[in-house]
Amino acid sequence: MVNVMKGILIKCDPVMKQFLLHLDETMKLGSKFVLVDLDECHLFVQPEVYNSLKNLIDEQYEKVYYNQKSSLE
Amino acid sequence: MYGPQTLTCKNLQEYLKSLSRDILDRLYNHPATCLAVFRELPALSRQFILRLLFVNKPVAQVLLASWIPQHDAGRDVGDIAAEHRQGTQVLLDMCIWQEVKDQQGNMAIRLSSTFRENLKVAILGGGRPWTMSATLDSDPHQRNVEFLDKYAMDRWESVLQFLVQPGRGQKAISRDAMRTLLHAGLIESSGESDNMQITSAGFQFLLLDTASQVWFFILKYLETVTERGMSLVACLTFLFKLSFSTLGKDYSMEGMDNELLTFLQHLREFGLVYLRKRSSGRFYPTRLALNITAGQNKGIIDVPKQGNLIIETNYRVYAYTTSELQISLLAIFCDIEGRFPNMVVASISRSSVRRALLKGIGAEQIISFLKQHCHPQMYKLSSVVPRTVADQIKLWEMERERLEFTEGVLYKDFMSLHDFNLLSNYASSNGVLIYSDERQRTMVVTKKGHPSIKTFWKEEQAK
Amino acid sequence: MTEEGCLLVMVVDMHPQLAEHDAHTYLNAVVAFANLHLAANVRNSLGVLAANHLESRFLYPSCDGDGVERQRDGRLEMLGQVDRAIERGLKTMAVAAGASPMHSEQSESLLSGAMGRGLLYIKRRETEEVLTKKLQSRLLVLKISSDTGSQYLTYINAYLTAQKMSTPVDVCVVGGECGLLQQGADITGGTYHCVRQVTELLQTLLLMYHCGPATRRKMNAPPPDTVDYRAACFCHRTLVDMASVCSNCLSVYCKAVPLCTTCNVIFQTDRPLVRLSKKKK
Repeated sequence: MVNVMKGILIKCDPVMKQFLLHLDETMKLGSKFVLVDLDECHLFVQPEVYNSLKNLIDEQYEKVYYNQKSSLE
Repeated sequence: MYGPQTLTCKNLQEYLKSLSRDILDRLYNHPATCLAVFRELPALSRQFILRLLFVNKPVAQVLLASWIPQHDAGRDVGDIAAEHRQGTQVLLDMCIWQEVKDQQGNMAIRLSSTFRENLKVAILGGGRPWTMSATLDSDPHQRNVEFLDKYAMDRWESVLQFLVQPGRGQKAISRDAMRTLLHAGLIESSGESDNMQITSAGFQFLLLDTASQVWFFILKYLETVTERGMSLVACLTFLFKLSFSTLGKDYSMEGMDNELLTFLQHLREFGLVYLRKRSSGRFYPTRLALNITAGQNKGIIDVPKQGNLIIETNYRVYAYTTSELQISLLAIFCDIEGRFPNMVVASISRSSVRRALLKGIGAEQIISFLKQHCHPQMYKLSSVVPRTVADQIKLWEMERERLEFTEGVLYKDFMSLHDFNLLSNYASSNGVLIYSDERQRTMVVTKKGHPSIKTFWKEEQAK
Repeated sequence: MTEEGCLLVMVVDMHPQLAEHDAHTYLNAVVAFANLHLAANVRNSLGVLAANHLESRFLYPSCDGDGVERQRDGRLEMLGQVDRAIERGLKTMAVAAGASPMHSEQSESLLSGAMGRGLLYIKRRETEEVLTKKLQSRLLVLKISSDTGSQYLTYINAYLTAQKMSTPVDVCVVGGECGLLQQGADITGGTYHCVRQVTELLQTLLLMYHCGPATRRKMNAPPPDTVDYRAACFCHRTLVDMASVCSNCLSVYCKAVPLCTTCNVIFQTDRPLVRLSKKKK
């Protein structure tokens, strides 16, 4: 019988995909969310994680980016 | 699906195509409409019309095909043929010409005679004047171009100002303007009945250039016209007539019925015409109303006011203005750092651009806003907005687009390759297939496509 | 579908020879074509010059200010103004030509001067452009008079200037062929066509000259003829096949001359060779 699963298809570059797999392993979202690892650029994940995933990625960017403060302050 | 929508504005062609055939036929009964439509057509279509302008009988399709150059050194004739086809298709869609059969029974093209006659009148003369100003004597309260420009910008800016801060100044703009803004989705009421909030579409609207804003606004207004009990054809015809007026001249209100007078009154509130008082019997079109149908393409025909932004390669922006509106617009995507008597210092940073991106504004919109409002000195540089700044804004937008999310349903563990192929072909022919891998026999379809796939699969199993 | 506007400068031949053809149809065709150009794109602009055997004059935009002109018929106001400006200019020219005592049978129209003025107008508009974007422009020359080689040099100067400015020069000749103008169209990348009757003029103008060079390539056109590239000699102004050329300034003479009139270089012709007797020892 064919297996049917509902979720979200994520398409990204290979770098981001590895990052998402890392998040999955370390359970940063509270539980494992990746359902199927499709190929180098595609992942199939649980439908509820959309918002928390976006927030996590935004946080990660904030950590990495240099925000220069203006000299007028 | 996920994320805010981009603001799209139809141009004149798309708008007219959306009207019914009957309305189009009535519209083409006036020279101003035909000329406005003619101007907005692509160059090849215009050439086709001109070639048939003086021909009364239907022209065989074969003849039209002979206009495509046959062979040429180095150029791809296929592209040119495609352009010809596109040109003819546009004319068919706009009901400017029709396909008929001529006497020998071959396929022929016939230019609509209403369109042809009215276009000839608009360009070459004849017919009756449609501005009806021949009997107008000179105005004792003549207004000059500077006054009209100032009036137009004041009124238009009050509408924009309302958008930026909908809470206060609600009395500053008319109810009709507010109604149109609501209808256009630029503001929405939040919770309490009196408070209005700007939407993401509203932000994008603010950053457009004035000509596009006016065109978008008028289009949305026209969509509400039938609700108010006015005739769309009359309003559109008047709008086209207005768009061909000369700046600085007054035009007579003679012969306008009540509907048109109401329309004129609304246009006055938006700043498209100036009317001293209703009884004076004459009005002055302002720069906003001229060539309005060119919409986004109006570009830089007339430059009513000069820009005042200087953008440096260190991401600093200096705005030589004291207008509250300009400063609020800048604050959408810049951090304002200092204010001086004649100038404002701001800087573009990742956080300020992200703030704007989260509201649904695109990098391209920010860059085009900067380009429009930059100081004339900047035009001497090779690229008006420094390349570093423009590229960085685009990169900040791209970093938000690294992930693409689509809700879907996954199918895997098929028994046989045949089953897999059957289902994936069916899904792709319906346009709902978003991923498929033959080796692993997994495929994903959209959430909406799932029910139909399910029924198809059940039918297959039953066989 | 943003299209750049195009500045079209028309140079109209108003030689009194026009009386042999139908002047009314000719002028109607000119004005109709000018109107069609302005109507086609809101960013198009126009300049019209007329040339007869005495002078060349700017018809549109006119120097005298227009009063407030109202629409008289269903035509666009601006187009009506163009019409009236052209009419006024032509009337002044005709009156001036009538009053002058000079005979018109031998002379030809001062088209080359008018072309030069047209190119200057284009250049001026380019520098006035606010945003320093290249103004797309082209020159259209309408000629009815017969040709003599007397303006050869001025024509060539005008063509080379136009080529430098990337302005194509289109030519439409009524009546007979004109090799000089054909050369010009070829050098600058414009189109040349000869119309036999004035009644065919508007049709030809619409079919071949209305669209800009980019669109013209997309429509089928009659194949170009071979161009007569013969130069005119400087002494007699006749077209020659073989000639002598000054090595200093490249002026063309039909037979060898000892002194070049343009650059005053003396040539040594037909002198016997001097034997270098010293060398032989």
